[in-house]
Amino acid sequence: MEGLLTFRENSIRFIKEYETWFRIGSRFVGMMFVFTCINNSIGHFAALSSLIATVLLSLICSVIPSGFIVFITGAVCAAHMIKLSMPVGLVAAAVMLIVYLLFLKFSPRQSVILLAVPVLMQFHLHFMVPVIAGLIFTPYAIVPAAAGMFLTRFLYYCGASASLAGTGSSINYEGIITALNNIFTQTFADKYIWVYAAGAAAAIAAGYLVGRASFDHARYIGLIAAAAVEIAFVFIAGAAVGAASPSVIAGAAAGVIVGAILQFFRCIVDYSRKEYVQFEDEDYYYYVKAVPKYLSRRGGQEKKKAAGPEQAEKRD
Amino acid sequence: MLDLKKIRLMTRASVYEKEEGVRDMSRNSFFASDYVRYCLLKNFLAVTLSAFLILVIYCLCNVEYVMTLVAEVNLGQFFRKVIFIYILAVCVYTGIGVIAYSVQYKASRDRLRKYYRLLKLIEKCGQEDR
Repeated sequence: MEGLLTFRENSIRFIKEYETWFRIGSRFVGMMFVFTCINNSIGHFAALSSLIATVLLSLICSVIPSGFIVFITGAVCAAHMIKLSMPVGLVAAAVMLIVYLLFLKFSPRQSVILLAVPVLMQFHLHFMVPVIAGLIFTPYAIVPAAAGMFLTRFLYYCGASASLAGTGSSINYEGIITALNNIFTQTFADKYIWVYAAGAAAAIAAGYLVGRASFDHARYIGLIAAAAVEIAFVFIAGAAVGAASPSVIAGAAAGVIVGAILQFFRCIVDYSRKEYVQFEDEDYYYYVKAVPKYLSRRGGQEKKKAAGPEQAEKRD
Repeated sequence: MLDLKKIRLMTRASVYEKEEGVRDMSRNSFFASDYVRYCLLKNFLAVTLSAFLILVIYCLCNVEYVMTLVAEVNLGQFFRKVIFIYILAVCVYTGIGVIAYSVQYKASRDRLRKYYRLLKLIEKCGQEDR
């Protein structure tokens, strides 16, 4: 345990020292994953699918505010779809704009969830997103999670039906209506979206409520609860509508592991030394549970050294 | 001699100013009702634009039905339904917006209150030094 704590403190110290570069670097790597995923699934625009364009866009996204990243990603998806088929691409752009205006503008900082779902879906790990989101974000995270799944499936059906409306520069005016009807009928009839949304809602609610309870190890128990609820919900709902997904077990397990690692680095407390205190001020009477954070022995000694000779004099 | 307590307080204040403080201070420049009204106006524009886009997509997908209505000069009932759904959507989003933006404003005020308390502590440390 001592070794782990020392490793944790050294890592945090190292990351904080180069925090700006780590933030830019991690965003760059994340956006490379996102744009590579987009290029692999709907990469019809050759210029945008090239490595140079991907690297350039990722560099831009790594330095701009996070709210604009969703716009750029949406614009790239729209450009690919418009290159495939102009009418279908314009409708896809309109649908993405509608989803943003109606659902995502209330909490643009949680848009990272929207981008994580299609990327992890390539590795069948998209079920880990709600487990981790319940730990880190608010219950509103269900909206970007469901929107991410909806848009992924919608763009898939757009690509599948685009040939009816004419591809490239040729437009088949008679086929446009058929293509649009196909796309929307298939998207709204896709039960997998509803199963995922229901599982994500249950997981995020369970993770959020249990993780913020006051009993010991609540955050870790919250992760396990979120995973268990998600697996149960997806299996029951999937069996009911015929859209079962065995990948929920692997995704939920991966979510618990990654969430536990994140929580270990965020905050680690020593429940064996917890204290209950009561006190009052002019306005309130306080019932407080104080749980001290874990410090490695080396970190504790360095803090005592930093207090300096003044403290030693006071003690003497 | 370095005052470690003051350094810690000033670091916390500085981190807050750099990250959430910018947003909270810009929100605090409004009264609560003015901020909510301003956000609801943006909300209204977003809902109106979305409703228009949804109507266009619906008409594209059901162009035969719409053409039939035009031919029979029976667009009145269709537009009444559209306007009813639009007003309902605006009311729902306004209700959600009032709650969401009020909660946002209150959270900003609470954070700013803690920040001002930090500043008072820093000033107190400075006076003790003198």
